[in-house]
Amino acid sequence: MKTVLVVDNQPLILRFMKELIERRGHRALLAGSGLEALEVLQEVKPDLVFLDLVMPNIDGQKLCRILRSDHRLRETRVVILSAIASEEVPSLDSLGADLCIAKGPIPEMTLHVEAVLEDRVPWDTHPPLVMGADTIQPREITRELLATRRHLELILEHMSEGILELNTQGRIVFANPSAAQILGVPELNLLGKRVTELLSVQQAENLQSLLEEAFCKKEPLRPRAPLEVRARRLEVECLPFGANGSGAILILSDVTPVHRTAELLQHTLDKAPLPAFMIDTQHRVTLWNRAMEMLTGVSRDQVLGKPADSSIFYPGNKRPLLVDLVLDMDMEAVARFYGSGTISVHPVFPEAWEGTGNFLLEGKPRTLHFMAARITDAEGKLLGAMETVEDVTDREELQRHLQHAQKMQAVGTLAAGMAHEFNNILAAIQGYAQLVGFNTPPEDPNAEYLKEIEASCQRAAGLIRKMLAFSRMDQSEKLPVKLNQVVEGVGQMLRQTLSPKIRINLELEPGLPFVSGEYARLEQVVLNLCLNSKDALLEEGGEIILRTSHCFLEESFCRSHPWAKPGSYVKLEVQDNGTGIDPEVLDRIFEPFFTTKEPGKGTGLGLTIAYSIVKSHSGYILAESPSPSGRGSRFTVFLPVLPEQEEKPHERGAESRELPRGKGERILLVDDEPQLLEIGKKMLVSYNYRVDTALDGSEGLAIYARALQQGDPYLLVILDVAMPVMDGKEFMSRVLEMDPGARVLVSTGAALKQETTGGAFQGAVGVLEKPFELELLLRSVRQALEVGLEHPGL
Amino acid sequence: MDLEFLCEELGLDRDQFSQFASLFLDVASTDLARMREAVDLEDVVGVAQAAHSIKGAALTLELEWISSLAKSVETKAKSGAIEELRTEMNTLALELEKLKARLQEQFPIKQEGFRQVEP
Repeated sequence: MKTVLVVDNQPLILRFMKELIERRGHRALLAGSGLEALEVLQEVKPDLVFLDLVMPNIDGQKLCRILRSDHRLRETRVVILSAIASEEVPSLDSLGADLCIAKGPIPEMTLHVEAVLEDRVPWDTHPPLVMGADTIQPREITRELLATRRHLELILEHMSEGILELNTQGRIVFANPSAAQILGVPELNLLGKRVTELLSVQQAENLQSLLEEAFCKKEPLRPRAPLEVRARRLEVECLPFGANGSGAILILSDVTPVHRTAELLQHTLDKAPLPAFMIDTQHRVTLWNRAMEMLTGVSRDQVLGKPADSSIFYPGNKRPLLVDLVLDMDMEAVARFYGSGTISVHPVFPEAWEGTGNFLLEGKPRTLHFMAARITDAEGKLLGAMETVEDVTDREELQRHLQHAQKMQAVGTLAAGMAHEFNNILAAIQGYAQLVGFNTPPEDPNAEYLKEIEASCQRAAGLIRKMLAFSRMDQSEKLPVKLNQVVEGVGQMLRQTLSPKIRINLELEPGLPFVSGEYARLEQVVLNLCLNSKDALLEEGGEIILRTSHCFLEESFCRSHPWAKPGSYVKLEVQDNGTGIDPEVLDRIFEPFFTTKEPGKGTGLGLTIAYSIVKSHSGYILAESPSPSGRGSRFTVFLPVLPEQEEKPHERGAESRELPRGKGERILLVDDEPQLLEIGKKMLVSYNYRVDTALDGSEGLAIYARALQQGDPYLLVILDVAMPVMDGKEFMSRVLEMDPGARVLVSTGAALKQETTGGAFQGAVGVLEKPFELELLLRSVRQALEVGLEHPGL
Repeated sequence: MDLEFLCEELGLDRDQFSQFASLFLDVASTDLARMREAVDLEDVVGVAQAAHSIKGAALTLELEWISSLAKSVETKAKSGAIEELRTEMNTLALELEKLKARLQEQFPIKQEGFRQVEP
């Protein structure tokens, strides 16, 4: 008894074959399709298989190949039973069939099948024997059908998309070569498999639910994300077909290269420090880079595939982002949501729109510059839009600092120029007053008035020095200073002078390092800050805390505070619990002549001077309001620590009050200001010097040369820097050429003082500040003459 | 249409012939329903497949007039002449009905009970 499997989709043939086979005493197994046959073959090893070529699901050709590739079934004879067999003869051999019976009327078929069952056939002919072909007329329509079929097969064989046909159980009944290649599984191994066996558990579940949904809805569906099979990314389209959803076609596209490109783009953008994101034409986020995650604190998993969430930038406010409006080219909405003038066309890329605004990101106020543009392909088709969001908070801050610094510098230059003019006038007043004083006996009532004039001149000169202090052109010598001493001194003075309702509390860190500075100026900084705080206190009084400490400004701090340089600093804080400072005032607080006080009550220079003194000490000053205590304000000054720690305390007032007198030395005064020449000459003559004057450099040079020839040379030249005809520089070089031992004391207004250091004036014995103040003039002259005597070769 | 003669021609006994013919009619009526549906949908491939199936089965039983009607439907479907094949389709339906009546008349025994062969 043989076990015989018959595979045909025509029930009539199955019935006929069953009867015939069983009548001959064999066992008949029936299958209505190739797929059913595969199921039967898993259980049974038949001796003989009759199969039809044209069948739904897995057809006869495929089934034949599968049978022949199964080692277990190598003994099984395969007989093709087909109406179109006569036309398929050339390909039968390649299928691996042993024999072919042409379908025809029952009597002929009966004869052929019986012959096969009884082994009365030549099994091993090449090509296989076709039985009954002569009884069949090749039919026109069959050829046509075959032609159509071949046409479709050709398309299926060569298309780049993979095509899988699934039956209701999700088993593969057809696979084209591309599908086999994409899935990396030979076609024959795919047939009969469940498509889900090729996927991971999770993906299989996703696909299964997609299939069910597609069957249910009877419409094509795609999974949300591409499937991943053997490191390839596949886009799948699921097309249900058949009246009651009896099967489905899966169209597989290998999108691995596209995905690699997308991943490359994502990686590239991830490395870019500029926060950026992209949306597709449906306004869904397709890309959200690392910098964007860091800026917003929102991870890409939270946003990908969804519309961009406006609440990231506008908490609690549901509205389109710029990128959405640009995508829709809805400029009317741009104006509505952003107001006029805040969004503009990018100056270089006219298709991009940009704007800057203030936002609260993760609770912190940030200034963001955002720019959005549409993305189109080479043909101009819209693909989506992208937006970059740059945090420009630090840059804006730096810009403000720069503007502030420029303004201060401009005012400083102006002040320096004016101070120079005033100095000359003051010099004249003060000088004449002093001269009158020499000739006035102390008991004369005018002596009192002259002293008043002189004192007023001193005060005026002091004011000018203050103005010059913030022009930073006035740089006097700096010495090691103990800031705690300065603060203690100011504190004591304030306690004595201010209302007892104001408590002055000192919190000084002991053993602070020295800072390099001018004692008096640092005193002024502390004083000005304290006076500012005092004015902020209410009538019922309050507290001013003066706190010092040693600190180190780290690199990280300096990155966020662009004005600072890393290093070791002594820190001074002046904190009050007064009314505090409005934010708009805080921005301008160090500006010259900016005051909130009533007219006449403040000059608007106090904090400006403090600012410029600190700057001239290479330090920093900060104003905060409210202070960290939540009330009032706090000013913080950072002064760099002096590198070498030699203690050279600033000695004040230690010198003798007695003025040094001359010994009849000959001095030449060169200055283009006749009044100054006159005053200087009179002062020096009164103190026993022989003095001649010259109004410009060339006259001075001539006088000097003559005296040298006569053997009674000038032991000292007091030389103005800026003069017409021949200026100080030229005179200096010429006189040293003529007399290498010439001693020159350079006199200058404070504004030009720094020009006298180095360069042409290197050979000078000293620098004298104008206007001539008697004591300073006499001491400088004496010192210059003695230096010259100690070092005759200078 | 002498079915007795046909039975003899096919070399089948009466029982066998009755069963085959009845099975043919069953399958053909399913195919016919499929064909009508496809015609309504103007699905030429569906029409041709259904006609092809009837044609092949009819040939097996040597029902040549039915086979040629089915062939005509198939040919017209392939050429896209959906409207023209309605007449043939209706004739085909009529002929199948006639065959059914003749079968009941000439082979009255055991003709119910065959719906579809379950493999």
